[in-house]
Order: sequence, then structure tokens, then C-alpha cells
Amino acid sequence: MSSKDDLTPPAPFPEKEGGVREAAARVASGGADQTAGLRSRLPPPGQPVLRIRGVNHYFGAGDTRTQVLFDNTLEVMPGELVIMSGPSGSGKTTILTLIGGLRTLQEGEIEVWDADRGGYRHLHGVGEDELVSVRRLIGFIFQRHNLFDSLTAMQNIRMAQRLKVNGPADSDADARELLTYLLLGEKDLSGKPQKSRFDYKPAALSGGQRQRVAIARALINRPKLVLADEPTAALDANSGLAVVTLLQELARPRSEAELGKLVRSPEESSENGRLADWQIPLLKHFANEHGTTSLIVTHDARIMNLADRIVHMERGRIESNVVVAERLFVRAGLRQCPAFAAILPEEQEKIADTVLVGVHPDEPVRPDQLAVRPCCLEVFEPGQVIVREGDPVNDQSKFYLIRRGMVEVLRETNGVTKKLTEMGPGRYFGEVALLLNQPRNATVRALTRVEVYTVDRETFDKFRSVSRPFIDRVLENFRVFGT
Amino acid sequence: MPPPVPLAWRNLAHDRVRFALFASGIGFAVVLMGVQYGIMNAMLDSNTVLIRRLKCELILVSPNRPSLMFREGISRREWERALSAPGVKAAVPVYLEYQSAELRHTATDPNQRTNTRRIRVIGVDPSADILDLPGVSPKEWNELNIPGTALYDRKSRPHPDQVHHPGESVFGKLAPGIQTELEGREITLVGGFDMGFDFSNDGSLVVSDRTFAKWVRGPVTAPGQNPLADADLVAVQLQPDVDPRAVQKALQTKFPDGDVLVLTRDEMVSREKAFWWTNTPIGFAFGAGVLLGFVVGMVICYQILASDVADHLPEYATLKAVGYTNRYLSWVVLQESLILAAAGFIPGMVTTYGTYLLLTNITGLPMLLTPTRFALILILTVVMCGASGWLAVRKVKKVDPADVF
Repeated sequence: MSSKDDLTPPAPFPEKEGGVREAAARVASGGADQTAGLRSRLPPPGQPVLRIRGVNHYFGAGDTRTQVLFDNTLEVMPGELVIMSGPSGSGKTTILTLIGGLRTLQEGEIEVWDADRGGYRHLHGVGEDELVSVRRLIGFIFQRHNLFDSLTAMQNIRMAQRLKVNGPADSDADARELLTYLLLGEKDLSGKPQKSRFDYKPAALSGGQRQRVAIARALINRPKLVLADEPTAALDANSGLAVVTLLQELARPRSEAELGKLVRSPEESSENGRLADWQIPLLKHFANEHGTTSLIVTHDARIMNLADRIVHMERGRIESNVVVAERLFVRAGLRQCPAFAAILPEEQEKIADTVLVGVHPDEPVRPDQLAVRPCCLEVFEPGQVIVREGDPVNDQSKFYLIRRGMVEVLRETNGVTKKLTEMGPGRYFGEVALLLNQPRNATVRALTRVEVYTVDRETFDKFRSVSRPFIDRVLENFRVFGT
Repeated sequence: MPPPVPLAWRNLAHDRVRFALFASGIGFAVVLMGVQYGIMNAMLDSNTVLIRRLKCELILVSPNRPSLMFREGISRREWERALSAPGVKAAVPVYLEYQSAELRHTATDPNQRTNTRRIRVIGVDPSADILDLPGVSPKEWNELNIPGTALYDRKSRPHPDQVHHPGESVFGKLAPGIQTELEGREITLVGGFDMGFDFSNDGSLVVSDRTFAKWVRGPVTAPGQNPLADADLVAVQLQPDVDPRAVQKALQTKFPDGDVLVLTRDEMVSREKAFWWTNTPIGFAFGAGVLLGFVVGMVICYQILASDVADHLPEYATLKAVGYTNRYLSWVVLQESLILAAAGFIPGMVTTYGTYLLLTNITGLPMLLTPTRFALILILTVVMCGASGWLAVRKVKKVDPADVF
């Protein structure tokens, strides 16, 4: 049996996610030069900025006590844009209020990274004072703007600035700059002069303008964690894009060229909106710190498309926690394999989603994360054999997709072991034996520490039965080819 | 750190019309308190005008005379001991008659007759210069030396029927040269002064001690007895540069039997006030009025603050959510209450003062706004608003930051 299929070239990375993610990794590890100063402000490499473990929550008391959150566990890494989705009443908002320290945590633990302190703040069993400190770490964007009618835009923002201990020297200039970026300053999008809205009271502002002031209030202190509930609902396309771009820029720096793509003509922009070239320097100047993580409850497709992680909740439970880059990585990997390429895309995606571990493919999986989902991911140390040539196929046999690390493929011919090839992330092996129900045709050994996604025989066969006509055709090809 | 945002002030001043209404609400309570308190003081003051008009530092009074209106004197033998005390310049007896002196005019023309009314008669030595009666000229004082002459009070209780008796007092027409009858004997009015009526009298006559002895006390004194044997009060004038307290102490030792009380003039005023305060419903009635104003003001202020919190619930919740403490929010509410106190006090006090002038003009009650009374109303206003602020603070503390989502 040929190992030809194992030699399929690695799947190309989805460009956007990969590129962006690399920058994030640089920030997270603190390795890059300009981020060195921020090192102490972010959690150690591989550690989340937010950790939720076994959180249960109940409303009411006595007979009317109802459980609204069930054993929720979630980790969010620095710089991630997390979308919380799910029907209303599924507990998204409740979990946001718990994270933000707006409610007392009843069961479980939530840890929020305190960048100034360089440690986590725990939310279980703490008093009001500690909750207040946690709230100050967070930028809240509410669906209702909740601005004080009696205060001007600047004064509303100043209320937030007053809470920051080491704010910028000229806080008013800082606020004006941010408002100008959000199109409330002396320039409109096309650069024409307009009356600045700095000293307007909310009653004199439109709904979208109020929302932008509220967003400015939430972001003016450059929080490391932003909790938002439909932040762009009231915004037009252009200001929505400005807000989203700002959240992304606070998460991780992007090149001018990349941002330049968002500067386009009205005709090109359609409903996605556009930025003006004069906004870019303001954005760069304001977003002088990075690593901000955003948790956003939204149905806005424009934001959904930019998500790094999508957390879906149903009836108080986190039903799925998908790192978009990982999903794309696994899907691309599966698609390369003829065995899966034949089945319907939806089925492919279902298989892909069963193996996800919720960790970006650029990040190694920690043992504790592995323990949570033992079925789907295996880790091998250098020199360890993953598949041995000649091993019979049985119910425990699996299909493998390399997540991290390098393996070598060896075959013994006449008592001599010959190295056929080496493979890296995105490559797969082990499907032929499962399809044909034959012993393994080669040995695969780890060269470095290797993480592989595994699809067990059962899953493999299940989908195979769903798509039998296709599979059979493929098998036919194999047989013809193999003999 | 940016400059602080005056949130409390902004919240209140945001809606000018509402703020004006708020201020007038609090101001109304201030006026209520101020006027009630003012009338109470005026009543107590009116009963002590005479004491405050005495030109002396110390006053001797019988401890058994709880109020000026009761008759209990000090015998001449007793009070003359005071003269020997060091620092005493003079001791002048003051004779008072509250009960039995009646003033009426009996004329042959029935239209000229007046009702019989009781009048207070004050008898002093006209040359002793013991009574401060502004408007009375030295000539008139001198005329008082003629027996059968009197000075009358221009601010005697006015006649209730001003339509038919314009400008008349309850004693009828009072003017220099008028002849009328005191205790059935003719007396001539030679001049007028301003003093005012009170609870115990409708007006006063000032006569010389000799007239007093003959007209007032004589008829009730046993033959052979000196009608002026007992002084009702003794005004003690001191030499300049002596400490009144020290003299008071020294004087008191002159009366070891305790049958004479040596008081400073202020103490005498307080003693008289205390009598009226405890023995009449004045204190209760007007104290209740002040309390009512206080409670009304507190309710108004609480309503304003509570509705401010209720109207800004999402905003306050937001402030909590972004990390403001209960302490800060409580301070905002308290600040609002203090601003309301100030905003209500200023117009309220102006109105109150106007009312004082008006009432003084109408009724003749001496409504005085002393710094102490001003301060007391200010303190009451601040406490009133502060207390409702404190109650409203509980509301803002209950604001749930989780409501913002």
C-alpha cells in the first residue's frame, strides 16, 4: 500500500487568521521588541487572560430558585475577539455580569488577569471592594448607552478617566482624539470640517453618536478585557467598522498596509463600511497598548466574521467553544484527505468540530486542557511511535491530523528501514488502513513533540456510512490505484 | 487625572425649570420653619422687651417671681444692701403693675367713652435714666415728674375694629395731651414710646415712681405703709470696667437667705422666656410648626433625591459597573442634598425675612432675625436635607450594577 496520501502537501493556512494570530502570539510571548515593555502586563505565555471553571448560577431563592448556568468552563487567551452566541435566555448576559464582577459568584471560580498587578484576581467569595477593583479592569459596553443626560460627551468620558490611576498626562486630548477617531470630532469621514460633538449632551446626539460616546467611555482606559453587549447595534457601517477596527487594534497591532485595505471608496465599501486615511494615525496613536481581549455578545455578522473564538451557549451551558483558526485548520486538513474530501462539506465540518480542543493551533496544548478532552488529541514525545507498520486495524485504530510538531514516515523493506518523508502541521496519516481495513502500511514516529488530532474508527465509519456512495467511489479509486 | 466632574450639581442643574421647582420646594420648607420659629421667638421676645429696655447690667428679682406678671417684690431693706457692693454704681427700683391697673375714659359723651382695660404700669424715677424709651424726649421725661402724667405705648394692642376706630388702641385714642383715667383717677398722657404688647398685657404706661405710688399702689396699701416699700425689680448699674460676673457673685453673697436672685440682664431674659416656654403652649405650638416645616422639607427633599436616583438608575448602575464605589455614589447623593439645601435656603431665607418685616408691620410683634436664629434655621435646613440625603443613599446603594446589561 502506498503512503502517497500521507504525502499530500500541507494545507495552506487561512491567510487572515494565521497572519493576525502570529502577531498575537508575538504579543503574548512578549518576544517582539516593541512589546517588551508590555510583557509584565500580560499573563505568562499559554495562560489565559480569563479563566472560568465550573460556574453554576442560580436566580431566586427558596422554591423559586432556578439554575441558569450549568457547570460552565471557559478560557480566553490574551488578544482574542470572543463572540458569545446563543438564543436569548441562554445565559450569555449572566455570564458576562459574573465575569465583570457585577454579580456575586455563587459556585465555581472566575479568574481575571490584572495587568497592573501582574496576577489573577479571583472572584469567588470576595467582598464588594474586590469586585469594584475587578470592574475597574474591564471596559463595559452596554446595549443601552447609559450616558448621564446632564453631562457632556467629554464629561461622561471623564467619569471613566477619573478611575484610572496612571492615565495619560493630557487626558482631555486623549478623549478628544478617541472621539475624533470615532467620527465625533471636527472632521467627518471624508475629512470635511464638521461641528465637534465633544461638548454635546446626550440629548443633542443621535443614537449612534451616543453609542460611540459610550464606547469611548468604555475604551478610554485601554482595558485589558472588554465585555460588550451588542456594541455595534446602533451604529452605521462606517462607525461600526471604526469600533471593530479599534477593538482589533487594541488586541494586537496590525500593519499600516493591512489597515490601509479598509480605506476605500464608498462604492467599494458597501455595507462593510470604510475608514478614512486620517483615522489610521489616530488609531495607531490611541491603541498604544495591545493584548485587549473582547467578549462580545452580538448578532452582527460584521463582527462574527472577525471572531477568534466563538462560544455558543444553550440553556445555560456552553455548548461549543470554537477557536476559529483551529476549526479552519482542521477543516482544511480534512479537506486535503480524499477520504473526507468526498463527503458533504457539512459532514466534514461536523467531524472537524468533534475533534476541536479550543486551543489555537499556534499554541501548545497544556496538560490540563488535554485532560478535558482526552478523546480528540494525543501528544507524543520525540522518538515515540504513533503508528507502527503492520499493526492490525481494530476498533481502537484512528485517523491522525498533525496539529503541531514534525513526524517521520518510515517503511521497512527487506529488513531495512527507509525514511519516506517528514511531515508537519496540517498533514494527516492513517486513513488508508481504516478505509481498506488493512494493517498499517508504514510507521510514523514523532521527531519533535507532536500533537495530533485523532478521529476514532467509530466516528470515521459513521460518516463513512452517511456518505457511502461517495466513499465507495473513492474506495474504488483506491483499489484500482492500489493494485 | 482629569479634573473632577461635578456630577451632583450637573444632575440637578441639568433641567433649570425642575431645579427651580426643587429649590422652591425646599425654600417653602425653609419659610415654614423660619416663620414659625420667628413667631415663636417674637412671642417670647415680646414678653421680654421690658427687661431688654432696662439700662443696667444686673437685675435683682425675687426667686418666687417666676415671671414679670406675678407680683412678688423685694423689700427696700433687702435691695439697698446692693448699694454697698463694690463696683455698683446705682440700684434703681422698678415698679410694675400687671394685675390691677385699669385704664378707661369716662366721658359724658358716650361716644368718647372707652372700655375698661387692664394696662401694665411701669413706675420708675424719671431722673434715674434707667429705662430706654427711644422717642421720648428729655422734656417729656421731665414732664413725667408732675404727678398724674404718663407716657403711653404707641404700639399698644390696636383696636380690633379699625373701621370705626382707625388708629385707635384697645384703650381708645392715645396721644399726648389726652386725659384719661387710671384706676379711676385722672391722668394725662405727655408722650409716647414704642414697646409693644404681649400675652400678659395689651400695652404699657410709664409713670414716675411717685405717680405709681399714688395712683396704682396707694389704693391697695394699708394706711401708714409705704406703697413703694417693695420694688418689683431692681436694676443694678455697674461702674465702668468691672466684671459683671464678679459683681454678680459678690452681690449674691449679700443675700444669704436666698430671697433675692441676682441675675444678669440676659439671664433675666432667659428666665422670663423659659417661663413662657414651659407654662404656655407657645413652645409646643410653634415648635410643632417648625417640626412640620422640617418634615415637609425632608419629604420634599427625599422625593427629589429618590426620583433623581430612580430616573438615573441605569446611569448609576453604569457608574457602579465601571468601578465606582457605593461611597462615591452616596457622596453624590449627599452633595445633591446639600446643594438643594443651599438652593432652598437662600430664597427661603429672603422670603422669611420679608415675612418678618411684614408681620412686624402688621402685628407689632418684634420679629427679629439674630445671627443665632439665622444659624439655627441654616442648620435645620442642612440637617433636613442631609437626613433625606442619607435616606436616599440607601436607594443608590441598592442599585444593582448587573442591571446595566
